[in-house]
Parts: sequence; structure tokens; C-alpha cells
Amino acid sequence: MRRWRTWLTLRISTCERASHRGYGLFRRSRKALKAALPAGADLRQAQRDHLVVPERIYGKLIGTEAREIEEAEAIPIDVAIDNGWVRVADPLEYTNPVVLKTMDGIQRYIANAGDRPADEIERADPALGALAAQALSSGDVTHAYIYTTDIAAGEGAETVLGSEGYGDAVTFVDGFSFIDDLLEEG
Amino acid sequence: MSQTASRQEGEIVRDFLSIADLLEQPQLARVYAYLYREGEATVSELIDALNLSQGTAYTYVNQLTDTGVLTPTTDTQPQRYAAIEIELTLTIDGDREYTISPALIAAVARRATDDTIDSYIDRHGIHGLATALTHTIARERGETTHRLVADDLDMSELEAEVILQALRPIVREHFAVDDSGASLADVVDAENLDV
Repeated sequence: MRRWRTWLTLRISTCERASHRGYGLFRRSRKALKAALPAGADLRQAQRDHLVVPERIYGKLIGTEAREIEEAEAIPIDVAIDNGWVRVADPLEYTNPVVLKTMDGIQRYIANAGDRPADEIERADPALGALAAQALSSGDVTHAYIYTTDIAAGEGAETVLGSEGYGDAVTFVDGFSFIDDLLEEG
Repeated sequence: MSQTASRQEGEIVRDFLSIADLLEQPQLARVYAYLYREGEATVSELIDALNLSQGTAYTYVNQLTDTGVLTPTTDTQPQRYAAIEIELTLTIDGDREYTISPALIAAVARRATDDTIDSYIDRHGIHGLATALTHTIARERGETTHRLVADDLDMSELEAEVILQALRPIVREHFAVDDSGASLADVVDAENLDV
């Protein structure tokens, strides 16, 4: 399965409120994905595997906080899932040593950056990098893009995954400039 | 106490009160923030840029000049004005520390046009905004995340993210912050998305 080269990247989004704006990029990825898929492959399935959000972050996106968004009639992440371009990841496999090491490593990275104890660091941000570690270590995925507006989380994931030997396979994309670029493109 | 010392103290109190005026009146803050950003300007340039009436513009400029936060830069007409750099650190109860800086005044100035900042000040006060600004700087420098800020400020992650985003342009204008992470163009290139 999943042999269509670099198109099969895992995309993880924490663009949160603005996640629906990623649709522009998605549309262009879909074109590329379609061109790269073998004849008869399931495009919809491939799309769903393209943009993945960790369970822990999905929980936050649909939690009570999301209901504070006054202007939104529906929760953006659920609209994206219903439209079939985002998928909630399976639970993280903590029995996989790479997943566990990445989780702990990012937690320590964020703690060091802010000079505070590691146990104060909430596990939602480290889960982004841990999900990428899980996907990369499965061998099914060749490259992971990590979208987040928190530099500490993005750089932490790049650093820790780099030390696990995935330096060339992980890219942190700055969520703010990403959204600005998408809006500019209209 | 010597007369010089008491005069200096008097000036410090006067400066403090004039800065307090800036923080209380977003329109004054807008004038100060504009001049701080642009370097200097004439009153008619201020009128155009900030959409002020002539009378209001002269009142604001005179008030700010009298209190010492603006200074005329030319002797010839039309007069040009520049903003004086402000850096005031307040320590309250010996541990809480707030810094009043041009960045904070610029944040207050946005109150007139930014509902997020306006309602944040209503709920948390100017000192709350000063704290949020400090957290925004740390966040933009990769030293904290919006989830940690939410924890520190005892608010929801969404509320933290919303104010951090609103203050972000001010931080990027006033402080040296390196860009980090890849951009959309990098992703498009790496993945040949225009195929």
C-alpha cells in the first residue's frame, strides 16, 4: 500500500480555528495526489491519509473551548473531517519506543525553552511530533510536515525527530505564515 | 531632601502621569504610536494617516508635547514632531513587574480598531494586557506555547491563542524575532504541488 512516493506525506495540522483555510492547499495537493496515484486507487482514502490530526488535539478542538467561537456555526475541524480531507489519527502507540522517546523528548525541549519543569508541559504539543514519529517508523510514510503556530512545539519536534534519525523526513511549517500565505493566495 | 532631588522626583511623577494618560486614552496612544513607528510627522500628516479632525489633532499633539512624550523636531513651519522613547518599569508588591514601553502603548492604541484587544483590556485591565504582551514576546521567540500561556494566565487555550495572535503584529514590529519554520512556498516546492 501507499507507494506513491512523496505524495504520501503525513500532514498534521494544528492550524486550529483556521484549519478550514487549508482547503486551498488541499485542493492543490489533491491534484498532485491524483496525478501520482496508480490507476484505480482510492483517491478519497489517500486524501484522508494526507492530513492527520492527533487524537489529543482533536479533543481540544471539539471541546468546550471550541464552542466559544461565536461566529462559527459548526466546529471547523468537524466540517473538514466530514468533507473528507482531514482524519483523526489512531491512538498513539506508546509501546513503540520511538513514539515514547519522541513524546518525552519534545516535552523536555519545550520545558527547557521556557525554563520550567517538564511535568508542567501539556502533552498535546508533544503529541504532534509523536504522531509523526509513529507514522515514519511504520515505514508507510516518507515525510511528515508539522503545522503549528507554536514555534517551541515545531522546533522541538524537528530537533527530537532529527536525533532519532528522521532529520530529513520532518519539516516544521510555521502556522502563522502558512495561514497568511493561504489568505494572500485567496 | 535637596531641592534638585525633589524637583527630579516631581518630574518622574509628572512623566508617570502623562504616560498613564496615554494608556487611558487610546486616541492619544494612537498618535504616539504612529509617530514612534514613522519617526516623525507634521500635524497634517497625522490628520491624514489617523483620520482625525484638525482641531482634535492639534489638541492631542499639544497635550502630548506639554506632557513631554512628543517633541518638536524643527523650528520652521510646518512643525514636525517625534515620539520620545518611553521605558517605565513598575514593581508592585515587590514581585509583580510591568514594563510600560512603546510596544504596550501601540497595543493600547489598537484598542480603537481591534475588538479583541479592546475586550481583553475590559476584562483584564492594562496590566493584564502588559502581561499578555510579555507572554507574546516569549511565544514568538519559541520559549513558550499558547497552552502554557493559558495555564499561566488561568484562561482557556482559545482565549490565550486569540490574544497572543492579536498582539503578534505589535511584537514583530517592536522586537527582533527571527522567522522560523518552513513556509507554504517551501512545502509547494518540496512536494511539486503545481504539477
